[in-house]
Amino acid sequence: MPRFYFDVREGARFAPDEEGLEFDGLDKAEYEAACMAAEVGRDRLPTGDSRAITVEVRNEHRQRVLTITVSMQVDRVEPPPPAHVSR
Amino acid sequence: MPAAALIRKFEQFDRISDRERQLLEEIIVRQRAVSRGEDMLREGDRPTESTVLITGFAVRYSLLRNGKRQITALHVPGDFVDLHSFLVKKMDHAVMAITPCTVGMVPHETLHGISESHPHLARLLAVNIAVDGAIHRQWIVAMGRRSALEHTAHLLCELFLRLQVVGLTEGYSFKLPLTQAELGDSLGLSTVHVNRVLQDLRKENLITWRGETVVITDWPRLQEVAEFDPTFLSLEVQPR
Repeated sequence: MPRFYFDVREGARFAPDEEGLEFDGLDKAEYEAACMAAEVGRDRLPTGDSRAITVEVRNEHRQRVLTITVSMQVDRVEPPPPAHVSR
Repeated sequence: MPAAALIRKFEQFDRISDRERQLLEEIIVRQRAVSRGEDMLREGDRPTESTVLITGFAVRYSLLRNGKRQITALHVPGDFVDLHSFLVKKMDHAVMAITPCTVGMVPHETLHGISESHPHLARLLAVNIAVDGAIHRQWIVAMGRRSALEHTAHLLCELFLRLQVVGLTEGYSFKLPLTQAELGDSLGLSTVHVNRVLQDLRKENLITWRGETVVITDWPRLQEVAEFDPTFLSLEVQPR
């Protein structure tokens, strides 16, 4: 089974995968990477330290084959003043 | 002696009398070998005996229709994998060996007899079931509210103490024959994520995990990271 490496980029922080894991194809590796991105996003995105998590997948030759990004966009909206209500 | 680990575990709850020790020594009427990957119990079974792990590791698990598996408990030698089956009768989950195991069979009839004639020993069996429940509660807290790193650290703290009770640790080192996929199914995390978390724990100099051997390299800090409080394991000898 081919080995894939899953590096994680979170803002300025880059955590390279030094071990990798074997999966029986890119589809499976993609699904696993997507699950991880979602899980890391759940842990980290709401705290607001970074607004995007990117998982970069490399193949056994250490070439990048896939990137997956989960991001959170938070927009505060200034509400218009309440309409005048006549009595 | 097949019940040795079980007795060791009970001795962490309360003092046991010679008579109670003798009853525990005789509690296992039969042994059998279970191979890795084999179900010792299936959902829907109505066992007439409860199963004690003598050697090896097993998991309680549930399977969903989409093929996803959640492991709901990890069992180490000395554990009953289904003491509750004596009371609830029909299994609501399966139990699988994740290593080759030797298991001991304890007839429900024997457990019934103990509950009739040896109330203190019956209470210790109840403590055993209560601790199973306490461990499930900790897993829910971790699954729902802890980060992947904290959750993994918490599970490693739990397993270290449980293995220590039955004499399966050497210093801060212990055998943990869990694949990363099984660990992922226990933590509710993807295999890739588990792999990354283990790398992070190692980089933080908290643990090393090579092959099947885990070494906790900084026990105070691992507990701190996990916010680990061992109260739920009830490892205090006291009247019960």
